[in-house]
Amino acid sequence: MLNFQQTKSQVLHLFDNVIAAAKTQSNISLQTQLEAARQHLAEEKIYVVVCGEFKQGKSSLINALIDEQNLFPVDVKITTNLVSTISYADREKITVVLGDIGTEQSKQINRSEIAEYVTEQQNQGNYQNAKMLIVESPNPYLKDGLVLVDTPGIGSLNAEHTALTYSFIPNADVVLFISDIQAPFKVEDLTFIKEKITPHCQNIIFVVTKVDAITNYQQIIDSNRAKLSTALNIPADEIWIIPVSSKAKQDYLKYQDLEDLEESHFSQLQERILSLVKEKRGQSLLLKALTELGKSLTQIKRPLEVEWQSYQQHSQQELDKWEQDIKTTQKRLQDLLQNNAEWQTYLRDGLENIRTDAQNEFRSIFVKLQRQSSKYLDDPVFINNPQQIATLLESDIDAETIGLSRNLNSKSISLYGEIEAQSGLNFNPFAANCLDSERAHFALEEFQIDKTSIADKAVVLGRSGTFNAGAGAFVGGLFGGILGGIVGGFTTGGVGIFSGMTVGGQWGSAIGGVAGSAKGTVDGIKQIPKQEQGLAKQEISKILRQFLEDSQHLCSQALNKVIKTIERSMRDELTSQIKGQKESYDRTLESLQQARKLSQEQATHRASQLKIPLQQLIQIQQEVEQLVIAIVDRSAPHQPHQSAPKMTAASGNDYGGWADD
Amino acid sequence: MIMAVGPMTENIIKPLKDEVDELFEFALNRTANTADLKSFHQLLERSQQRLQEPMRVAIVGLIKAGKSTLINSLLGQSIVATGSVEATFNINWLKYGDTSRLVVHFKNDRQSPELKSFAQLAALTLRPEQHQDYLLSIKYIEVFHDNELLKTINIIDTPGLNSTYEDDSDNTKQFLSIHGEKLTEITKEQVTNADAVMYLFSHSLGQLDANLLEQLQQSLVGNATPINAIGVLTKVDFYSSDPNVTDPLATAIDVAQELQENPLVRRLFYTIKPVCGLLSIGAKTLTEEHWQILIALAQLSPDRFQAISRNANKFIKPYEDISIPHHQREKILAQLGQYGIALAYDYLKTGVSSRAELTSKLLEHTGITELQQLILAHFGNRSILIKLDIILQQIATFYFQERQYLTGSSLVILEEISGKLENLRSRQHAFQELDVLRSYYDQKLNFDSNEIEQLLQITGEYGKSCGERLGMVEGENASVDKMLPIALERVRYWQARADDYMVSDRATVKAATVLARSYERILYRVQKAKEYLYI
Repeated sequence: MLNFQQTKSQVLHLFDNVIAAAKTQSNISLQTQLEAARQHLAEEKIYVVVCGEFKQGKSSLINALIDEQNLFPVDVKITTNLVSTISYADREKITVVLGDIGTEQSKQINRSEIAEYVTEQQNQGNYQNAKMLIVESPNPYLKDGLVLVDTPGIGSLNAEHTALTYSFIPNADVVLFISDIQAPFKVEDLTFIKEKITPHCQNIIFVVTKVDAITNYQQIIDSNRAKLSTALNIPADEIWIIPVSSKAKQDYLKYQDLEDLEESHFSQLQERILSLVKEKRGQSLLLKALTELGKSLTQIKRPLEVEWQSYQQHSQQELDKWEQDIKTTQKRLQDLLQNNAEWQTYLRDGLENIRTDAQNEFRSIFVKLQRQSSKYLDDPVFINNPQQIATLLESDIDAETIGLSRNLNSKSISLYGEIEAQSGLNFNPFAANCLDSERAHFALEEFQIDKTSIADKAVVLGRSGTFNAGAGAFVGGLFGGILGGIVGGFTTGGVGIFSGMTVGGQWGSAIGGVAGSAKGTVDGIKQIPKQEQGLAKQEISKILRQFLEDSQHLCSQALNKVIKTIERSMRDELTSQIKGQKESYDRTLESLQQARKLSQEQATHRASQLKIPLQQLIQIQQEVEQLVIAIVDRSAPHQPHQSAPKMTAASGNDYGGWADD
Repeated sequence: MIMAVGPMTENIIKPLKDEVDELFEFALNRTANTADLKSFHQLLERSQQRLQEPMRVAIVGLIKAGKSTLINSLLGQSIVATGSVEATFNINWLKYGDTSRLVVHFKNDRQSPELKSFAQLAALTLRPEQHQDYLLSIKYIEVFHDNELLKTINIIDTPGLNSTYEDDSDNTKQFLSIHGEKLTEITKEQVTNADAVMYLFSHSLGQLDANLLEQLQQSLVGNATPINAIGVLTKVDFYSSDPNVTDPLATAIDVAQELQENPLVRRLFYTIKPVCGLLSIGAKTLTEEHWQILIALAQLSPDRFQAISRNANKFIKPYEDISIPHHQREKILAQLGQYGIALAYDYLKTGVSSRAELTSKLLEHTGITELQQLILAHFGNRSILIKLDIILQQIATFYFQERQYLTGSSLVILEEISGKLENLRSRQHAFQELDVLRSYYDQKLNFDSNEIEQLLQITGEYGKSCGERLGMVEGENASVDKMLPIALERVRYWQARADDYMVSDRATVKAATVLARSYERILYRVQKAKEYLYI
């Protein structure tokens, strides 16, 4: 059985063949499309987010993971206060993003300047107004597209750090949850994992650091495993806990003593990350590429196949019927391109429903938050520190909107699928017979997706990756502008639909606004004289109510914009699909009409000319099909959009064949 | 001429303690034979008793903060059990006693306390596998032990806050999860019995620590100020594994300093002290056997020693070229930790030749002596004040609760006593200074940094002698001649500051008035001393 890397290179090779075929047909638009898809597969990024409580050794771990001695500043006195990403590039380049949300600018710096931006000690309270650090490095470990994300720790006295870390988790491919071997899991850690990680990402590796100082670390790991098992309701042997020593890895780099390398356990961690990434991300990635290939192949093959068939002793009536069928399909596709086409209305109505639902949901969320806010106010814990309430509410808003945004995505995906099906655009990209135009129905009432066929599964599985861009966009939106682009691309992104950057920017202005007004709210509360806290309660409650109303307004405005953007990108995507199909039918009709004009002799000659390229295309199509079947079979237990919480080890068994080695 | 002024001035101003004793004597007599006031009488008895007892210091912190290790290092003996997963299960109340013994107190008040042998302590506090019902019925364990420190303070050792207790066998789990939820509650309840709190944390302080500590301080009867809370940064030993750190204690002092710059932290703690807990207890209990292992280790070449000692897991492996058996290495690692072993190696290489010398050298790196001194100075100096403050508040609360149910002569007696106590509180300058200090920690005062420094000096934060309270470099050895002009100058300054009500807020003016009065008292003492000296 092939592993991910082998399958990937096979798929890339198939792409080359199909691109060549498109070239010979001088189908430039298809060629461009295929080249983009190929590049996307080749350059796929995989995001590994490193999170955990503050001061547990996250930055040290990243340094050790990529064999760097001191890239990210590390010290007992230092705490990280920025999100940093590190990815592959031919030459080292370090960029810091500075400025206010929406108008931020990037600035190139060198290694020695990193600490000036990313540590609480040198950049106190982030007076530099830095938003993110982007490191690109020719590091061999990152060459396969791995992007490491270092986050500020959760739970420090700085609430902004915590909120920032939350926002990066929903779109991670793998989460490394870091804890110090000397700090056993607390209730708070378990709650964080349960509420902020597992609903979004099930690929968690628990990394226990600093084991060089402890000889009986196995006992502590067993204890952690039992706690996690109970808290997350997962069998203990399905939880991956890897003890590491970043120090031992650094010792190895320094002294070249192999025993240090062994004691560091870093090779285990690296292997686990790679295999997890490939198992889980591999399937959706490859399926998406293969679906794209299948569609293109059908389009390329159709004119050739129809022409070839026309030489095979068919009656004139039969050929007339074909011509008529193709013309009908052409007409229907043409109709689909009209502004008043039924799917356009369906798209608008569908999104309007989604929008109304979401607005209603927003309303009930904010009613809930108002109630929550008065509960906080009555809580004696906050008597001395009421400004904390605003920070808590902000984090509640973030969590709720992330949830809502995910919901929005999955609804949009279904809507897209429905429209594809109704417009007959979802026909099996892997069907061998191009003349199966019967499937091109356009009537709404006939719409039904056969969810059991391999082809549909492949399309749906592949698409679930594509549309994740929406969720990524949301996270990207926390920052907007340049950052929205970077972080929004923090997903599969890729072939069309929902560009992280645009959607991200819109959420960004809203969430940035919430954050800004939360800060103002905190300041406002702080100004209320401490001694008069009793009287101040009314005052605070007024400020908080205003804050929530402002936030609701911002979020609902952003929602409207996001829906508009989704509508535009869906329409563009569907239109380009229809155009592609139509072009293919145009070519088919042309070649059929040409063929019918040929003499018997010319026809025989032409048929023999067609035979080999056609066979080649059929061969490629079969290969695509086989690969799809192999992947879908393997991913059979996995249902898109349901994402049953499943831990890494269990899945490791399911997809065992996908690991390298 | 050098002269300590303290002792003879005690006669000039009536000591607080005498006044309190007289007052309690009076109050107990007045309430002795009135049935309505029986519970009040009992409260007074308990309060009087409490004033005689040593200060009670509760040791609290999140799980694995190093509480038990710190207690052992303060006592200089391994008394309470430590472990690699959450260790302490029940609350231990460590008190002074000629003979070591345990008294187990039960949650059910009707069950009379049981006497146990000292040897059973570990079995009663560590995570239980057997006798669960029995252990669950325990409220706390009084641990009597012959240790000097316990004469000054009692230590309340608590289980870690916020443990999930989910790492036990199924059998234990159910039992523990019930207990686990209540554990934090019980700890908070026990803190109510404490006069002061030492809050332990490793690495750094987080929001969780801050929240917990604020809750704990609220449970210390109306006494939510840093005056009775000290922060301890523990596990500093492990800083040594950071290649950038050459002196863990010095680094930890920086870390503590930085933490204290955070306003939230300033509101929580009087101060933060770093401690290498493992090394302190290890150095204090170093045996001849340990000493011999260290001598053998010192025979290794620096490179070889460094190669194995940089990782604890390597340190205990069998190696062909190292003749010291690995179990011996395991033993010394458990005793001193990696940091202690590295220090000891260096000391042995540079001429330290006796076990006692090594112990004292090692202790210099731990910060434990400084912590002990702080406890004695800070808690010890104000012991009676802090305790009395708590007691007076309890009595005031009682008064407000009870007066509505009492009539006639009982009510008259209650009001009379409560009035006298209230009067004591407002008259005693020490309490007013305490209030000023509290306002300072609550950040209510609008003083400049120079004034703050003087505020801390005069209220006795740096020591009780006149010299220390005047902020003299000579401290308690300052001469009367030198003190006099300074005291005079300060009195004038603060009197002017107290009249400065046009530009300052009420709290600040009030504080300045109290401080002016404090300087007047010091000036008076110094002048009296001069009179005695030159007669």
